Amino acid sequence: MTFQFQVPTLRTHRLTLRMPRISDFPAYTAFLASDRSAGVGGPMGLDKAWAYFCHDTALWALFGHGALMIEDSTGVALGQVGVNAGPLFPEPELGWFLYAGHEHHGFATEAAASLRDWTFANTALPTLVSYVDRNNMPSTRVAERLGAALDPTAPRPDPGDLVYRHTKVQP
Amino acid sequence: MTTAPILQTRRLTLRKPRMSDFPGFAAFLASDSAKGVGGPFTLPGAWGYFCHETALWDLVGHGALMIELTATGEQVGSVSLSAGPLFPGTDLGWLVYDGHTGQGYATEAALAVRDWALSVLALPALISYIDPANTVSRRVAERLGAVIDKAAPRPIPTDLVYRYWGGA
Repeated sequence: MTFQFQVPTLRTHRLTLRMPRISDFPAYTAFLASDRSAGVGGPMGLDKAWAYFCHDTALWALFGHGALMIEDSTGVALGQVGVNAGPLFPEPELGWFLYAGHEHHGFATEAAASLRDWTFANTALPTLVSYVDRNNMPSTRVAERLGAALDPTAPRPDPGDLVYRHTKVQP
Repeated sequence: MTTAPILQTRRLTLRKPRMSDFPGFAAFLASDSAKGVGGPFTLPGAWGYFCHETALWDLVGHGALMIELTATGEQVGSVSLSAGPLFPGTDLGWLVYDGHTGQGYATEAALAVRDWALSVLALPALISYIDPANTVSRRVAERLGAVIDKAAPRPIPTDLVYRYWGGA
């Protein structure tokens, strides 16, 4: 199956969500090299960061959904939100991260709600999960604000993860 | 968003990777035959490689094409035009799955991608990084008219660098 797709640009109250581009890579790599990336499998070196970045981007062509960079009103990238899939994920996953200095403003919740809604409206996926390290309090709060519910029985890539489940609300 | 071309050669169809290509690609990368391209790879390594090949189209405007036998639709490998932080130059690379080597598929596919890169993209030059012991790939580069560039930077110090010049 080949997806004839258009990657969306999503606009929320404060944010623009758009396709990753090569100029995002330096800040993305710096984040993944830092301790702040523990929640997404880091810290990691350049090779692995490039594989992550290519995964985020390639998802669109391979699955028709994927990752978008989170930009503020001045065009500065604050982080990323994505719907992951592929052989490393038990099922499609809504994930997010913010670069240092941009946390505590509700940006992750605002961005993830927008991409979740787009995904349910524009793909056949009826449900998404979010894998969150149980010690990652900011991300557990994001999942809860998004209205996701803990799914204690869902498979998870890391036994220490919590699995939050987002369910499509039927119109 | 770059649209990847579909290139047709005498025996082959070269087209953008899709998800159904991954099992065959990952099986090749997990095998000893993948030594020439930095393998063998684990599943996460193979997935990163496959995503690199695919994402390049969106990130830099060129990337990998899967090599398909036009007559049967069978996948026999891939040919790629790589760039990004892990490559000092724009790299023409290829891999052919076990059971399909020795038929000239790599040469036929790489020739089509070389010509596309030098004419359509108008890149001034391409390179191939090849392990000196990999005589099969060295012969492919030589058949394509590449010449050894002793001074070019390379990701692995022992690699040979073959250079293809455009503008002819």
